[in-house]
Amino acid sequence: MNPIQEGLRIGDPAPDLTLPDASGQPLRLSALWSVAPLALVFIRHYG
Amino acid sequence: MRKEEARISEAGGSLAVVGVGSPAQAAHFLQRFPMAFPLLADPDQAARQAYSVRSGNLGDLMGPATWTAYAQAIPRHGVAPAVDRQAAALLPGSFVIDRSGRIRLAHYARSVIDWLPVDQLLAALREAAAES
Repeated sequence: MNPIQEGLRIGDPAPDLTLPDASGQPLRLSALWSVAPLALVFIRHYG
Repeated sequence: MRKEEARISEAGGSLAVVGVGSPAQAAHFLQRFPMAFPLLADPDQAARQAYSVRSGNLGDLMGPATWTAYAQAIPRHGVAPAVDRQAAALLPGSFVIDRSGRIRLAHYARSVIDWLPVDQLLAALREAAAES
């Protein structure tokens, strides 16, 4: 198996992006994590 | 998902799930898998790239860990779960980010079935919540 290239490490600043939610409303990640610690989970394709 | 969501709230944390596709596709996904926390659409994979969450290659797809889990899933589901080539090419990734915007936990999957145990996610959320 290929070695895993691990990008972000503990203590790194989390990239802040704005993504649309399922209703198309833009949501900024920092707006989420500033309220409460955020579990950000990347899954697969929706389609 | 509902049960995990409750546990995340109890831990003092929140959840956002990011999938590749359009908001409309995310809405369709939400109908099948309802959740209270935001389901985000990452149509051009900008977020995946920013977090360095890899796309798999054939090696990951054909790797022994993947196929072992796949084979074990067959008796559970009765039939072999469908392997969508496109879906299989995207590996999962899980992060916990504290209120100051720092990474507290980063888990990069080595195969499509390599998910971070929920308990580890909850422990990191609890720890971050206790500090904030």
